[in-house]
Amino acid sequence: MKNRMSPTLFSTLVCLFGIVAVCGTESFTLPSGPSSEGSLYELESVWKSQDGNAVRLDALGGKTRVFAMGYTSCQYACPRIIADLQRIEKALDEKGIGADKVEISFISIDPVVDTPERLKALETEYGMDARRWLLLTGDEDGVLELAVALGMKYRKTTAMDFAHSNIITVLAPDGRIVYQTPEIGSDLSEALQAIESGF
Amino acid sequence: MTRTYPRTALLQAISRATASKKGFGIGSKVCVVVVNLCIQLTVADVPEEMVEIPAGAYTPMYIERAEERPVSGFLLDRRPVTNGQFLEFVRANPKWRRSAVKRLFADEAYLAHWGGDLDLGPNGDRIADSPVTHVSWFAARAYLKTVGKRLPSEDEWEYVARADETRADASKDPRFTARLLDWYGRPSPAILPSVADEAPNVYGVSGLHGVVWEWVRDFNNAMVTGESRGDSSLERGLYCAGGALGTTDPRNYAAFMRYAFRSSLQGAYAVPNLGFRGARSIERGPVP
Repeated sequence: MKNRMSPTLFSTLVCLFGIVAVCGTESFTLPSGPSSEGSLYELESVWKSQDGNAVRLDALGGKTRVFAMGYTSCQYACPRIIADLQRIEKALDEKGIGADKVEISFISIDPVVDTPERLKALETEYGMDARRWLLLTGDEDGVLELAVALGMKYRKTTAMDFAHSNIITVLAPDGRIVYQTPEIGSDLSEALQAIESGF
Repeated sequence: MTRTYPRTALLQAISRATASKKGFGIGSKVCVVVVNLCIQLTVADVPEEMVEIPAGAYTPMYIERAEERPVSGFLLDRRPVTNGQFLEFVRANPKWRRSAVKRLFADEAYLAHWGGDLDLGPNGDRIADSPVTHVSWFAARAYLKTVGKRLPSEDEWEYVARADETRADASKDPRFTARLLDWYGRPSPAILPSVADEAPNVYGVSGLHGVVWEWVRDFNNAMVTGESRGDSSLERGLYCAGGALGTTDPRNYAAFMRYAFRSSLQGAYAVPNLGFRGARSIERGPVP
């Protein structure tokens, strides 16, 4: 069900919350997933790139962007998310869709550990093309806001680790979410289709 | 100014002293005077509409998080934010009006129970002092920012929500849980009661249960699917008809419902019966 509640959960919650909250007054159903109508670039948070430059989220419009959030010391899923992002990159390269049209971002949820230097090291480790990849680290509040806007769940589990959902998001040049996949190692052709449909 | 004693502890000391029939000599009067002085000192930086919640620890309901978690002292609003207060906010902040709000920040149901941008509707007089609902997480945060507050964390909220009128932790008392479940199962009235009508808990906080559910800062901390560590079975217990089996205390089904509800939310959702209140961290003064 991608980044959505399972139908069972959904109906359970509608049922629970329906009973809880709305009997006798008005009925409603919870929509599913984050808003696809709003632009993510309404967020005014300021981040730092792997080169230490300040990056305003609301200045990222104009290109299609592929976003994923994680953290550099992650041993489990993040390397796989990055691998998925690199598969997308490879497909874009093969189709001749350059960094002038689509950029890829890995955004840290760990403002304490992930300094721009850590991001730079990640760039080197994975051989990321700096023209294509914008790695970002921010502050706790900016991370929370962006994660919520992306419909992403996360929490700190130990001093070093986070549990988090694995979502790859495709943003239109105006900042609207046009596609999301939370599944690691899933078929990325839908994400690619969403990217290409913008051209 | 450095804080020396939590205010609630001092109040409890006073009530113990005054309730006690013996040992009431000059000494205890002096003691009460000193205690009162201390209260005045600490009251100075606690706004009237807030109370100080003393630091402590609590055990969240999930097995995965079953270890005790520390909660620092903080300030919490006595009551949820009302329609009237929120109206003042949107009056002063046009971009948060119903017709102007960005869809990223609030869905179509935002303030749907009002008559218009600056109009509480035909029942305006009656709902002005009721908790505001149909507000998104983003809107709640924006409101609180303007008054120098923030949303309480889930830990903070749940820590205070264990209290009843006389005990800081009533969560092990089946009667307490039964009361909450009774509310959860009752239809909500068309006109929500005024925030002034609810009995305060032992901290002086009212309306945590019984009127509306409330946003917390980190409502998005429970995984639904695709958790990165691959140990989502714990949370699967929460969703896949596992009922309350994954919880530290299956009796606390009321808390289970709150966690389940929260994890179904998105930041832009504006739903009936979901409101909010403010919190503030306590700034520690320099250590002398």
